[in-house]
Amino acid sequence: MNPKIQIPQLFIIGFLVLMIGIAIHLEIPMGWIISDALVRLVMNGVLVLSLMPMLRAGVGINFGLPIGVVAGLLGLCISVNLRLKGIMGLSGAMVFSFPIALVLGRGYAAILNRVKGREEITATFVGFSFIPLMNFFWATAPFSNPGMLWPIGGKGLRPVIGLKSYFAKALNNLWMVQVGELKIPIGLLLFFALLCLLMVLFFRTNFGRAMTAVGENAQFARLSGIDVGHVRTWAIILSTLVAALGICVYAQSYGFLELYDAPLMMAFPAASAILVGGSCGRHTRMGHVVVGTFLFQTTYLISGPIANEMMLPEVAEIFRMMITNGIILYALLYEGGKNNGSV
Amino acid sequence: MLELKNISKIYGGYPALTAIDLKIYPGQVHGIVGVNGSGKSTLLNILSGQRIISDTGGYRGDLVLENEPAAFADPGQAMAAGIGMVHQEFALIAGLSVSENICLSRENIYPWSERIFGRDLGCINPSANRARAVKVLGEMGVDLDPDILAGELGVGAKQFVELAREFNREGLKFLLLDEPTAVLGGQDALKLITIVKKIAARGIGVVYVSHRLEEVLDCCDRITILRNGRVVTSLENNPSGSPKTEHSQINKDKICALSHSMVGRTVNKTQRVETQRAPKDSAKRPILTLSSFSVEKPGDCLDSLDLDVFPGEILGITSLSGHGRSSMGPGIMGLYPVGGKVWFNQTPVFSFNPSQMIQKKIGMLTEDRRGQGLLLDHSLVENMTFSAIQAKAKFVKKSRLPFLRFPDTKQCLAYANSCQKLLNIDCRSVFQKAFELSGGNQQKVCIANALSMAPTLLFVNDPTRGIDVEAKESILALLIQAQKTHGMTLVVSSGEIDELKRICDRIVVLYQGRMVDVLPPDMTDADYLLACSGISKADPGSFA
Amino acid sequence: MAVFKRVPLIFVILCCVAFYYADMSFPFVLNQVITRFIRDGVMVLALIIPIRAGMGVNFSIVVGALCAQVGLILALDLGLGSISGLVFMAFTGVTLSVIVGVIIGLCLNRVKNREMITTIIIGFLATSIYQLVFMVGYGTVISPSNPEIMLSRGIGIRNMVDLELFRNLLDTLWLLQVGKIEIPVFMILLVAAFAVGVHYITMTRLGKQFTVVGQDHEKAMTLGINVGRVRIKAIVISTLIACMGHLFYILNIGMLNVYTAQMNTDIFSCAALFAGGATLVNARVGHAFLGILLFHSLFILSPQAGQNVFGNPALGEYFRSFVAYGTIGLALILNAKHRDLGHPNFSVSNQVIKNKG
Repeated sequence: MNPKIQIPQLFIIGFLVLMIGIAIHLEIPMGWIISDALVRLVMNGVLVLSLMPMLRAGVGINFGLPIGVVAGLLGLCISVNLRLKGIMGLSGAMVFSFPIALVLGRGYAAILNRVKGREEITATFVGFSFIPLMNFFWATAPFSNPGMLWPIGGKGLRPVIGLKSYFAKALNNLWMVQVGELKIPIGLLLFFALLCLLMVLFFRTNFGRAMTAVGENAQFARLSGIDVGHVRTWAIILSTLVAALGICVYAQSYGFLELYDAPLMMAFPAASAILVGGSCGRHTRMGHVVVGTFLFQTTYLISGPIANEMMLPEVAEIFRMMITNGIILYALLYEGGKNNGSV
Repeated sequence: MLELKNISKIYGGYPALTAIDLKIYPGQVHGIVGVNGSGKSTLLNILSGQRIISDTGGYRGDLVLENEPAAFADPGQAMAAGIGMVHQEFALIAGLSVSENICLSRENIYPWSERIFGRDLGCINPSANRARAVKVLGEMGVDLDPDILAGELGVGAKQFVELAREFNREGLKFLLLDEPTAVLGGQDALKLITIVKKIAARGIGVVYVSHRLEEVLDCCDRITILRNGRVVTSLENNPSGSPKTEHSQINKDKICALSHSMVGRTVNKTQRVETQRAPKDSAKRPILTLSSFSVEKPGDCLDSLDLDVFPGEILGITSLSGHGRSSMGPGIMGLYPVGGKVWFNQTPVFSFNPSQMIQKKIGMLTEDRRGQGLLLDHSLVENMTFSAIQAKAKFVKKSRLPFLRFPDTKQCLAYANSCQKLLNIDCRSVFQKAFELSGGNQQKVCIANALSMAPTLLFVNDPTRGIDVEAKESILALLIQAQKTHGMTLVVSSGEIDELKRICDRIVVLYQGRMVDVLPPDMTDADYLLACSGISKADPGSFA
Repeated sequence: MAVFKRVPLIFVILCCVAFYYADMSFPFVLNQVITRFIRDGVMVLALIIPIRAGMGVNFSIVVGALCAQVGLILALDLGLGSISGLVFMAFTGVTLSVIVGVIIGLCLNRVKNREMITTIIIGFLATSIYQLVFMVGYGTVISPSNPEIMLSRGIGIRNMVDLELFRNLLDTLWLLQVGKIEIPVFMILLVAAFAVGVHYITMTRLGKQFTVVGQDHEKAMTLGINVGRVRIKAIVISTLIACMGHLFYILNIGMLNVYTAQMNTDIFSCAALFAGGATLVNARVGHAFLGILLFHSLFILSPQAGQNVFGNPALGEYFRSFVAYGTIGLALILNAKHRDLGHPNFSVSNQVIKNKG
């Protein structure tokens, strides 16, 4: 709500400046950093965006993000199995994942609507338990493209499927413009901008406003004739849908399809990013998503080469984990403190 | 002796108590009476060291407990000093048994365990506790199974367990009772009074706060009347031997005298903004008919109400708080479970939910503006038009896609601006956020939102709660104006009898969720006060 | 409530099915279960008190486990062996866990109603701080005195540390052999002692305070109980027990997986507790013991059963992770319903109507 910069933002900006200083000192090319930062912004930005509907509807942070991710992975697998290539392949994956996300989101919503007031912890465990359930499926799924299956035995999907011969970087390289050292992925950025615009527009519609109102004051919404459960359900479905899109963008950018336990912890960096952006419960705006993802992912990005230069490659990962969880914890404590004060 | 010297307390700029001097003697029952907002609860909160007092800036003046100055920052300190309190909302732990509740934080522990591990880690001796609970209950003359869970008890029994818990304490010097009979039926209330007398007979000073004047007369040795945070009078009383005495004429006179001093001199403000409307046309068909209508609103139930509401009238509903005045509107709107039958415009209503009621042109203004009535973080325009957009698809651009409907900002703005002028809302612009406005202006925004749905029947709950005096007048005027210009029917519930009397055609008085009487607005305040404590005008002897 | 008693029953049925298909000998399974019992038993007990105090599942028992690991690594670093080492590591672990317990308690007092998600995040955060200290701090900021535990590059502790100094110190004490079944009597007694301790606490005045705060902290406050302090005490006790429990776990294994040993202790302990029939508002020692037996039996049996039925041991693995997470998820979902209905005001209002009607 208020544009005041808070401790997490200050901390992460300070950290980022420090790391850019080190990066310049270590002569890591700036052009590479900037172009990669742009790619990573979109690569993770869609996943972060997917948290927004649930946050605004007052359901809390979607720690059950793996559910949407799994829907997207299924779409991707179908697309790969059909050997679709390029932009076709990517859009195919998105289209296939759509109905799956719809169904999964509906079920997920039914669960979360039962546990009002304790959505976050329940979502975490629903997400956690969904992963091994899907592992069952991955290990037995009737896919036929040998590129996806275990080379030996030919049964069950591989944990990592290369997308190089299908649609790796399909969106990344769309309308890529080279300016000196800088590579600007215009297509990718436009796609992200379009998604953000659609989301902003959605929250301007009647239904989008109803969703915001449910998050802010469910009783008021109810007295205005809104079916609160219905609105929450759609917020959760929308989050799941966008998460499915998010993993499609992520996978094409990464170039690999990671199955099995890979989505288990995906919710936490996304949650951290949106919190860094300044999101505070239902006060979540598009700016929070974009700024948060950019700051958070850029620190992620730079920390890698720096740690490598320091000959301690694990440090980067540990630092990332620390930042991720530290920010979420700060947000929890900060919000909790505020609530206690007002009551 | 517990002595209060010059105690004053200010809540958010308004004096709640002013220069209170009181002496409470051991072995006496000291009754404190007063209407809502006269400062009774604040007084008890100070005496029992509730956190809310220190959190809102403390109080001025001195407490003297047995010639020693005392001040309690939290309930624990007050308890340690020998002051116990029985709360209006039960402080019983539902999942513990009666005996555990009675002995709570004063448990008997095995001596060996205390010697080894210290007091806090001493092992509780359940059978000793049970025996103690049985003994205490026996002394009080209450027949209760000590092993039953407190959550499974009826309200009456809960009240007795609370009393037993305080009774059980050694070193109890003063006992504070906050409306102990508010939730009890007649028999239980009598029993409770007997117990209170027993407690006093043990040399314990009892402070007995109640609305029920006849009870206060029955059991108190001394009665202090509070009005607007000041002591009006303090008088001796001789509790008539048995509480079962019939309401003799003497008693009735006393009650009348008491209620007059509680209310004070009637301030005649602009009596009846509107001239008396034509008497009800009996041939007119009721707009709303309730038949044994009940609402289970927690803490404020409505119980089998039979009532006709006629089109175009302003009907008032009043009761003491917690006796059901605020539950009719929320019940009809479907916020709480309801029972009984309802006809709206002669058609029966079967399902109760807000969106259906809005379609039927029934609306509600809630008393909890911040909690239910406003989107505090949104602009006034959005607050005024939100419900109409959502429930009535008013101010909406035409669109073929059901999911992609956008509000028509121009229409919204036009409506908001007209409302701002019409209702005289004091704001910088209609784009201001709702939380920045004062209570009165927020209420006007709520009214604008309600009017935007063009209801024919509007329930209004406590319209002037938390609003300053000037704004109150204009809100009341607005309600009357709405009734006049739109031909709306209003059902206004309020604890402010004075205000109801000025705007209503007739006023329903509830007691313990049941209708006591329907009074015309020109009755005296004392009559209303009697009705509010359950004594019907028609049947002066009755005691609910 | 009644619904939830079915959870142990489901586990019994699953265990029977798995046992039928796994084709393992009963003594083998029993031996394994006993080992798991002495390894994980104390850890599960650590969860009971926070649940009783109304704070939900304390997933930050991971932090207690980390305290134990810190104590152990310090003991190794100082080259302390045998009983003196044992005393040292216990002492260090306990001191540390009391300190962090207070800190966690202070954090949780700020986040009433969101304790569980907070404890999960605290666990994650503590893990990364721990990793930072021992993977990076050691050899750079902190200079080790025992080079054997270091990685060859000179920075960071090795992934796997051998505990030969302490091996078989406790778990072979009073070993009893009944047929093919080995019973480490001392360890079982130790776990039982902890169980008695936890049960004793629930019977004391402090335990009653936990219950009262857990049922309704508003009322507890009006009754003059310092709610914040009681909650901190609950977390401190829980962290402390977790620390001791993890120490037994590591000593029993005989190896310390420096960076991963603490992983999933919280999830498995919590799942075991729920499997035994505990709920989010009520947990007892009995639930913990029953849960450990059922949950770990299934844990031992399911990979083999998966292998035999589907020809793929991985499926059994997936199944058991699903059971672990799923049990917790189910407990959360079922409990939410129960709490809504149990709202005190509702029962009051019903009573009013009944009394008068």
